[in-house]
Amino acid sequence: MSGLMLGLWNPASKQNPCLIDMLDSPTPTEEIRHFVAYLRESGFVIGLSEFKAMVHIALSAGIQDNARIEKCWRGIASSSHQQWDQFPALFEAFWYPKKVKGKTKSSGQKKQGKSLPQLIQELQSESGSTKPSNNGRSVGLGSSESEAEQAVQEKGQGGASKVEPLAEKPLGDWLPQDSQQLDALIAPLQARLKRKLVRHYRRHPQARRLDLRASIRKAMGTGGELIRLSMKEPKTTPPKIFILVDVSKSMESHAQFFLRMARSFCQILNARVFVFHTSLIEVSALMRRNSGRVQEKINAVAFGFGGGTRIATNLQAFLAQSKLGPSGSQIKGLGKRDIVYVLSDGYDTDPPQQTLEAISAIRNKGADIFWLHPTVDRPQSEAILLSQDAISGFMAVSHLGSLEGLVDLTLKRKKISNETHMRLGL
Amino acid sequence: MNVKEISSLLSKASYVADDSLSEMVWMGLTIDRPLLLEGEAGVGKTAIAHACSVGLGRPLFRLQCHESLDLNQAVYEWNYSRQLLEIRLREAEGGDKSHLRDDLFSEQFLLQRPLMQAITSPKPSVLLIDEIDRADEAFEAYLLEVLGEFQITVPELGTIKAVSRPLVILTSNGTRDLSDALRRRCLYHYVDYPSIPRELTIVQTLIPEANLELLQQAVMFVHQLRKEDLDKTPGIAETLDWIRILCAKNLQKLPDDPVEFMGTLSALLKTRNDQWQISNQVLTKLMGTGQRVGIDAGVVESRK
Repeated sequence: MSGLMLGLWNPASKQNPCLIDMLDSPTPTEEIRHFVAYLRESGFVIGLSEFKAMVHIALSAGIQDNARIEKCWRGIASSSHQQWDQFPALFEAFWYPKKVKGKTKSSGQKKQGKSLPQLIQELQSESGSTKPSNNGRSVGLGSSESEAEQAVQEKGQGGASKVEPLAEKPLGDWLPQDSQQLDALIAPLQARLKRKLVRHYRRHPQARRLDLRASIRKAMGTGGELIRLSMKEPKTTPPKIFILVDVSKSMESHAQFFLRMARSFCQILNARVFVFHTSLIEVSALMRRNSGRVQEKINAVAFGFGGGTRIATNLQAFLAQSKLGPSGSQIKGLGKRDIVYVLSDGYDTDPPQQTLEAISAIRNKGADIFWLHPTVDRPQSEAILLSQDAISGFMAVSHLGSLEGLVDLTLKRKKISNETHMRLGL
Repeated sequence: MNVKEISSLLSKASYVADDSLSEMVWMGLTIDRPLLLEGEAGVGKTAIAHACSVGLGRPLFRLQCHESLDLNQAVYEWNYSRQLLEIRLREAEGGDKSHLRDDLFSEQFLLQRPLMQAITSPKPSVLLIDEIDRADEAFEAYLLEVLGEFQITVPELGTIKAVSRPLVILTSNGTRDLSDALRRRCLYHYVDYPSIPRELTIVQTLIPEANLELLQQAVMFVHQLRKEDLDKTPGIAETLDWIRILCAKNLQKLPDDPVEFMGTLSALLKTRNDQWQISNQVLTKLMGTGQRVGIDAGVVESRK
């Protein structure tokens, strides 16, 4: 593979270089190959064609300044906004390690002691190449030797690990930047939620059912001959998801994590998010924004609330508010097979009977209601004990690992018992 | 053609490209790779294709993607009406019908759509595939052949290879994740909001009749506004619209009283929430800090 690459990239290689000789050569292409390997370690997807393009650009551009190589290679190597932002730092860290101060070295790869301009010069002279000397270094993208060497370098010492056990981190210790881990746990739900059938059809060329009316209309353009058929299939829509986060005083230490969790639901599953204590307010628009200030606002929401909890009143208010769109217009509210997650410890100041009625009203709409509580045990408040048969499922969310059961809970509507939680180590 | 020449050609076509974007166009032309431009709406992704077309003197073929886009709209379609007419005519003439089948599926009955037009164009062209993220995944998969090999396969005719390779520009607003396969076939560029000096150059180029002081103040104001937490951050297109409105009002500079130009902000603030969020107090604050930002960016001289 490596030999193939070298044979392909070098425009001056009219006589193909010997594979064995080239494998051990410390040529500039080798340096670029190391750089490509370094980028790959950082999650860049770079194949043979990208590598060839990088070499081709370096050769044909007549590049004198390093900034230009950086710009060109950035476009070739990056394939997303994140990588686009990441590239300059990686470029500098690899080619100018001395400039990078106060940062953690992100790879076991070593800088080979040549500056980029030197390499470019060598690369240009290499076009009419003579056989380079062998210093015994291994060549090739991800060659087994270099990988093994790197694996040794990356091994922790004395069993120490660089990976923070986020899954076991208590909710109170969570930092905003840890929220990405949440997304990974919630994303599977999106794929596995069964879509709802609606009474409309959508046109689709690969559908099985003939849309006779549309086909006849199309046939008008072909003198009445049914040449271009129009097909249709039943339209489906994903179930609506609603998240209700309790931000009362008793939830003070958990509310911020639950709000971050709600944000993940909002961004991944397009859920509508409400927060409540003695009153209820929708915060979906706030949750959808992907700006750095959202965390501040989430904190402000949690800070501004606090006090008693009126779960029953708020569940009733939620039923009414779910029918209102962002601009106050009437929309289709909670319906059949929709899902409501209540993130609360269950302490309520409303009469228990009223809570049961409110939960039953939600169930009567055909929706499921799941109760996610921060305590290991199921909430023992009178309101919850009275309503537990009406609630579709309970789940303890004490740390990130607890969320692994969320998909099963939602899809199988399985009430996970406390014993199961204990067995899972929650 | 080198990068400076490309930059200059784009400038002549009224597009002020930064070095990085000019490099990208140069690379696209040099190694025949499509360019994938991502970025917020209104930052000039589509405009670069028009500028390349004008600057390089190439015809532009534009494909606007949408959810139900299919091959008939994007690549080619048989001209059924004409085929039927041909059959009827041959029947009426009563001549030899042995070659009818072959004749009906020849290029004269083929309606070429943008992708086919770009591939078969005798002159090198610019192909703009706009908002590719709005097309479905099946169409994206089809594009792989076109973008990778610059060829289109028509079952009845065979494979049609590009006569001249077009400069392909794909734009995406990031409403859907594109496949890795498509990304890998393209050179990637993230088009960000411009810096103050560059935005000032852009508005000066496109609205030369506007007063310089008004332009400076307006650009600095928009720059500050982008730092607010808005649903829809204004892009360059919005800045241009807003300045055109201010010019139409014969303003030589931004009025000191924000109430006076509050009505014109509908060109910048595109959602109800954003309009509600930017109050008179916020406007006053933004106008106050704009001067400082301009001095820092080197587009306004400090008063000593």
